[in-house]
Amino acid sequence: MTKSMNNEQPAFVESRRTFLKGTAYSVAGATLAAGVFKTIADTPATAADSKFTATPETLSFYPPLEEWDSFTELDGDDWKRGGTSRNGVESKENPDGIKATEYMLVPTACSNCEASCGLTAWVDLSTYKAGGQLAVRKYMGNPLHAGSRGRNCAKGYATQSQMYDPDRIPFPLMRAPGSKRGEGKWVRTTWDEAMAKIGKKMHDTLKSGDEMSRKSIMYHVGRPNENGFGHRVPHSMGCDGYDSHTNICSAGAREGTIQWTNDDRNSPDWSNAKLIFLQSSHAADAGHYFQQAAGRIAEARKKGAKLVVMDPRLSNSAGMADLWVPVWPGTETALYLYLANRILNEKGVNGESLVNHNFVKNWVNWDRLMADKEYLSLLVEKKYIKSVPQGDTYEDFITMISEMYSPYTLDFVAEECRIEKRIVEKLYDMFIDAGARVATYIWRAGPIGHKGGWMIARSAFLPFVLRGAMAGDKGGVGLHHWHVISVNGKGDAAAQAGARPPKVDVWNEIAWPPEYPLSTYEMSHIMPHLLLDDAWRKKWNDKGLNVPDKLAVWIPRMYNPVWINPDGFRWIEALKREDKIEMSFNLSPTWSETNWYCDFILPVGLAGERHDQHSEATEPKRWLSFRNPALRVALEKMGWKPKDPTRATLEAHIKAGLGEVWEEVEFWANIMTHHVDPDGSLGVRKYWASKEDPTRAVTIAEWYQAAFDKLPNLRKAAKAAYPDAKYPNYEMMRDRGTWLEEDNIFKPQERELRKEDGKYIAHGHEYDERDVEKDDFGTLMVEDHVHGGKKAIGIEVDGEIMQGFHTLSKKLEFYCQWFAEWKWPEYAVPIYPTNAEDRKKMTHVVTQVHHDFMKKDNEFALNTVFRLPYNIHTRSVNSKHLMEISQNHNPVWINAEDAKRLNIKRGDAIKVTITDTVEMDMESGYFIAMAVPTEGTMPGVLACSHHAGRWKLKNAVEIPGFEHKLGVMGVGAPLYDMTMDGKVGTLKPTQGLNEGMQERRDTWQFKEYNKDLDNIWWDGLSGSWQNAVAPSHPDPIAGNHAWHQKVSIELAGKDDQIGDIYVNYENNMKVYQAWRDKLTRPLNSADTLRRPVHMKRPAVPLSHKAYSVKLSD
Amino acid sequence: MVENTIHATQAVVTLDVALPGIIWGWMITLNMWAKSIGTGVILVGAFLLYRHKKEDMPNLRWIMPLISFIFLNIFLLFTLTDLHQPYRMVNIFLHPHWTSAITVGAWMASLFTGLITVMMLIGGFDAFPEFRRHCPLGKKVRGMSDFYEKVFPFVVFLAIPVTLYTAIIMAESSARELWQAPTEVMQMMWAALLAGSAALIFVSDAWSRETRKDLALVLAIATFFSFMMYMGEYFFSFKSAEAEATLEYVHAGGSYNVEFWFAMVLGFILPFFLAVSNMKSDNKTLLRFAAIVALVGLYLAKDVWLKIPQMLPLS
Amino acid sequence: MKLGFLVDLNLCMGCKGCEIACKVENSVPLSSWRLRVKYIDIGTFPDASRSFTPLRCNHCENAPCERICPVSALHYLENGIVNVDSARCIGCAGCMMACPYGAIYMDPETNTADKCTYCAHRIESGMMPACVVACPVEANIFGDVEDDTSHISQYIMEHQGGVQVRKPEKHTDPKHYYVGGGTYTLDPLAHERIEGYSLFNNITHLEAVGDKNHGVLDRFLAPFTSHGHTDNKSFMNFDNDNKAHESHEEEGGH
Repeated sequence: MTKSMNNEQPAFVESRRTFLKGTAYSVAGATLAAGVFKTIADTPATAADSKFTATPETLSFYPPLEEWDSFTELDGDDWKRGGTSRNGVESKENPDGIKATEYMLVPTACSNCEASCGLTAWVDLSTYKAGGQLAVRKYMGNPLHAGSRGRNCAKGYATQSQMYDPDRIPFPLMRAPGSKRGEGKWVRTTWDEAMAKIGKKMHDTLKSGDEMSRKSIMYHVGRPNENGFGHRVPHSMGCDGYDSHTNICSAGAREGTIQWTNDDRNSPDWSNAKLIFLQSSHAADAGHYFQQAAGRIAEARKKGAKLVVMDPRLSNSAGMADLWVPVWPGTETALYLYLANRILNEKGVNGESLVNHNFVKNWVNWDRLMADKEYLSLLVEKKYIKSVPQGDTYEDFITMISEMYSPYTLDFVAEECRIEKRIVEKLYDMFIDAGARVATYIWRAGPIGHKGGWMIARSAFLPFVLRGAMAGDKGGVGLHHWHVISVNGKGDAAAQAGARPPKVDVWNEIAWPPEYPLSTYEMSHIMPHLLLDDAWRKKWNDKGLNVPDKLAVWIPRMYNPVWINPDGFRWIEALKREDKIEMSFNLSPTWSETNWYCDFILPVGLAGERHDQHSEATEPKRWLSFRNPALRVALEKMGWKPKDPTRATLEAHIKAGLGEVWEEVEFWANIMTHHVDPDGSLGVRKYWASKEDPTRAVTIAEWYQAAFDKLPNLRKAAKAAYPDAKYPNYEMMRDRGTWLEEDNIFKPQERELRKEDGKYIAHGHEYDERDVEKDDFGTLMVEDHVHGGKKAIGIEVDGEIMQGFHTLSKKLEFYCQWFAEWKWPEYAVPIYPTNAEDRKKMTHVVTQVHHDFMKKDNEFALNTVFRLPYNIHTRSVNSKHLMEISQNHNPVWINAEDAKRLNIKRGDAIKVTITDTVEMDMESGYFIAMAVPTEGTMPGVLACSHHAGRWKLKNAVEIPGFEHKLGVMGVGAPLYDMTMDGKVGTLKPTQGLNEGMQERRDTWQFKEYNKDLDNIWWDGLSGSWQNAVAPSHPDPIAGNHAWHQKVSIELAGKDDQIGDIYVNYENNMKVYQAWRDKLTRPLNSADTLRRPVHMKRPAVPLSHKAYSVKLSD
Repeated sequence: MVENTIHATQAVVTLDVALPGIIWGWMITLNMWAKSIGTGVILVGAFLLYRHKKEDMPNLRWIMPLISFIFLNIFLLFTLTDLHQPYRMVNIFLHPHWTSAITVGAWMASLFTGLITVMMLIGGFDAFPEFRRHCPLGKKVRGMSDFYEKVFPFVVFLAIPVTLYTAIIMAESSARELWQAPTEVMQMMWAALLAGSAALIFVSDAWSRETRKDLALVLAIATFFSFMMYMGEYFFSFKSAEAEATLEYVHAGGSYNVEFWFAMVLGFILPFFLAVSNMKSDNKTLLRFAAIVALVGLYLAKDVWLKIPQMLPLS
Repeated sequence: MKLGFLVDLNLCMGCKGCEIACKVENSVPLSSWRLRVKYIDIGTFPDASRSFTPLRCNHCENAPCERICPVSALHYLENGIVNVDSARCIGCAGCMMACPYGAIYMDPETNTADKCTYCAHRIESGMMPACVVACPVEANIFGDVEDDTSHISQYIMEHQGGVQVRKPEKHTDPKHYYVGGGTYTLDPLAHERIEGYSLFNNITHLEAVGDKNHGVLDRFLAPFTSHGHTDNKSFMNFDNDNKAHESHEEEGGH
């Protein structure tokens, strides 16, 4: 019988809104959590017995912060016995009652996409205190987190099934001595042995101290999910050795955004928008941020906002949008310029101009364009305009661009985008009706899918600028760097040196080849191609460069480039070459195709097993997450002490039976201090050894105390909350897991430029006003002491000195002067060809899958670059739950009419053959997949996400001297046979995963948690490894891989099987070379710099020496 | 009409989980089939005893409860086996829930089986004195012969709800609209009479021609009305969208279409004509044949009718 | 008190966060679902649209599953929740046959019937159901429908005329409501459900009801053969490899 038998109906107050108000309030800094939760303070007392009632007064979303160290909740599994009404609650008197589990809630942050939503790990103390294992029973959200507000998507809740993955790597592995990379022979090693071997190799590499040594270590990071710690690793060694995944992800959008704003992504205010105008499914259902974005989009829609989604595919968000705008992939530019045309050349209902002149006049660099007669005449020469305008007033500018965009008519856009006119017109009306309150997030899809994808982003912002929606105001679009906090790499004060390492003096051509001076990020997706391309290397060495012909140490981190990058077999070729990559180790929580070809696999922690500071621009605020290793924190709070305080996370995970799982922060501090530079002779040690005790590495508490000290509000609150603590910043973040440093950040460009006693203060530097001069356009310029020349620190607008945007002109740059100077004048303003002939001339901004190229009726554009909302790029196969819900949702979607025409029926296996359109008709090979006709993709465009189709070559691996086999990606990857001969590679499925798992039950770890694995009902063939078939398409300007492919399809032959792939990767090499040599405009003897100095060179700060270059012809 | 011909009004499931298939399968079919025989022989036996002198059916008094006993035990065995937690069958008696036809049925069926067991023993001992002499239990029930006749009317009365309650379970299976209480009740009744008469035919060798004629008559009537009801349900279940959708699928040649017609011919049409013809000319072999096909057909019919509504996705 | 659930289908974006939150919260085994989100595509290009319908137990006030259960394993709690007692369940599957919403499954681990309980164990702990907490768009609204001041009651009042339940003709009086639903989303007969939608497995239905790995005989043997509580550790076992000892016991790595 339940405890409370009260018959009168108690008031049942649904308490979320008030609760959340409290939350936001508490997070908003100073005020402490105490009292904040009073709205739910009337929940029954916590005394185990009186607490539980079937008719509670209130229901809470989360327990109040005060109760996080010990919160008791009835056990969901034990409840199945009939609950308390049949069994009562467990107690001494009633041992058979329903278990009430005591939890400790340890805050951390999700790591399954870059949104960094808050999590709380519910650590089961009852079982532990009863002598059982310390384990996380579930992950839920963190109500204190200003970005995620206690909510999470499937991937967040799946953190638990990832943690207890049956095939989790339990300890460090080393390639078996005498075996070749890829043979799959492994031996068990220890962290110490691994650190000693790796540390020595790195030490010996750096020892010589020459230029090449600083280019020979490469830290290759997938989505970092932290803010700057990884950058510090190569930086502290004086290496230009950081490769990111960005050029297969978002570099296209960044290029276009940088040209406007010199910030590499925008940051909208969804909640207050009147129109949510999405390009692709990224923001609202498939991309990172989506959980937080979706919540705010929903909020806006509750207030009446409309939702428009532009996407060739009916994504989830397109499916529920007020308007779905399917445009031919890669032609989005035409549609944006059409909007600009109508905004410029039409009037509103009351005859008013549709351009927000107030904003455009003050904040767009029209004045510089109108002053540059030379460039204006180039526009005439290019036939963008008829003649150079007489005057140079703002009005002349408007007249000029009104003419420039007039060719982008309704007829043209309908033809170019293959879209019905009624849809475009409806879109225009909705766009205008929303005024300046239009929010967008230009990121993946178009900009990353195509040659010239960056121009999609560049043009996309034009209509937003014209309407004043780019002012960073309420309901509009702001910029990324306004809304993030990056201190993860800034714990320098805790290290012996006490200061940031100096700028690096070398330039690494493997990451930054001279063909791509404007690439927004490293050319990481062609790393293996460059390493194996002797002709290319020779060419540049002859011109006077010093290009590495190998890497001494290659370090992927939580990254699976072999599988997710294009041309996978080329990656395998390179990774197998011990003369090209002398040593490699993957810091990876899970098995992956890449691990298979490395020398060491070092298991690091998942979301709840590591430390990171992580902040993202998901709204006009500056919040941060603090990732915690839940088991370690729980143990420490219960009084456990590590033997070695610098290795507490590793020791805690071993004690809790999770495995020898470590984390990067402690790992790097230790290996650098004790192995890479044990005697300090390389000058590296001092950046990692502790200031408190230089004999050991820096500890977590020391590091984060120092890092968080950079945030004034956080520091103040921490001091108040933990007055007696030695590391108050660290302790507060450990206990709350999140912080909101600044709220309501709107229009910061209009903030006054701070000036104190004759000194301007910009970006933390002081400039004496006598050294500051104002140029003809009102920009405040100062000497640039690093690179020489001038740089801007502020701008005068209407007589006021403001901070302005991040650009050289401090305004939004419609006319991107530096881009013109850097060899691309014809694209220095938003522009797009309007006829077939121009499309040939302006090929750099025309997609490789343009319908011009689709001649035969079985030729299609393959839309590859979209994500399944409930999956992660390559990190889902370790979660039984994510695998189960995502089963069989990634066929090749084909428009129903196309299918009928080609007589393809639902479920048919089809052969999809990829050919190139730069190296015309060069064939890459094919993959076999299942076709499903749908009304949800546009005619002529196939849709198949490149995020499914994982493979493994062994079901499990034997570890000599270890009693168990280690299973490999059991719940998500079928078994395949692979062949490769240096020219052609193939893959063929041989066993479904269900069968594979059942035949090796003894290899399952965490047996109790995984006892339901015998109910797996899928075999997991949910996609083919199309990434390997795809050749690399480096965009000539942005440098990103242009994902989409031109394909031809036919029904598969009788020997073909879904999952088969055939790749001619020798051809793929030719394709990459064609894109590189036919399209780029490389550095030449006239250049003195590697790259524009103002353009962010990510990760590792470089000296002017590094930027400088001298080339012979 | 256009709204039925264009795609615009069509909706397609593009992502969902895998659902369970047939939940109640052949064991339940066998259970219903065996119960029909177990109860049917009592009902038909009673009818014969009412119409004819005992002497016309010398072995009836002991063989009727024996057949019933055997098939009731088959029925009980598979009822138990079909449970995912067979040992917890006892909960039905420890924690009975009287709104459930399963509970009520289980109690009645158990009581019924108990009484049948007693009748079988008495009948057996009376028919085989030798056997009684050697069986210790036999001595005890020596004086109880008349108990058989006393309890028989009550047993006959009890046989009716025992044979019908499965229909109420099907009615309580509110997810399956094909099953409506009134029709299922009648189906169960006719099934019992069909099965009962068919079963007794096998032991009617030594009986008078008149009795066999009655058996044939009962068989003919039962098969006729069963068939009529199935036809009515199969073709004219318009009143319920779900039933219609289910049958539409079967009509269109989906699974169980063949099995259904096979059942109709074997179970009802064929035995009907055989039985009718047999009422004129007493041909034991033909009559046995009729009984066999009737029982086979009945099993198939029950099986089809049990399974087809379970093919419809409920959500 | 009568606890009710409302899903605003205008808001649901099909992220399936609630599905996993539910699986984790209630340790629901693979191949079983207390809550699932179904995608339905409607219409033709380019006017096609997609809807997402979360489906869970309706906690009917007049519940067919409760009526047909022979042992009252399914029973009402005083707050209106239809609860399950797996210790009493005999596994007759009558409830699965009775539930018009297909909300009940035979748990393959326990071989007993189970279903959504609105997270009754959390309710008694004063906490919201896991799926409500998870929802990024707040499409799940939960509370006491007998209390006019509750969020759910107010939501129902605000959307009068637009509030629907599944299969009202069944007279089950569900306590689970939908706003923004339509025939296509709520009526299984109004949309095509091509079996074998599980594209690459060619699965049309689950192999079995309940435990697929043990036959009928095992049901009788279960009490004697059932395995005990296995431990939940990884392969960490420091006795089988001496080398492993150093790695963490010794002081640091130097």
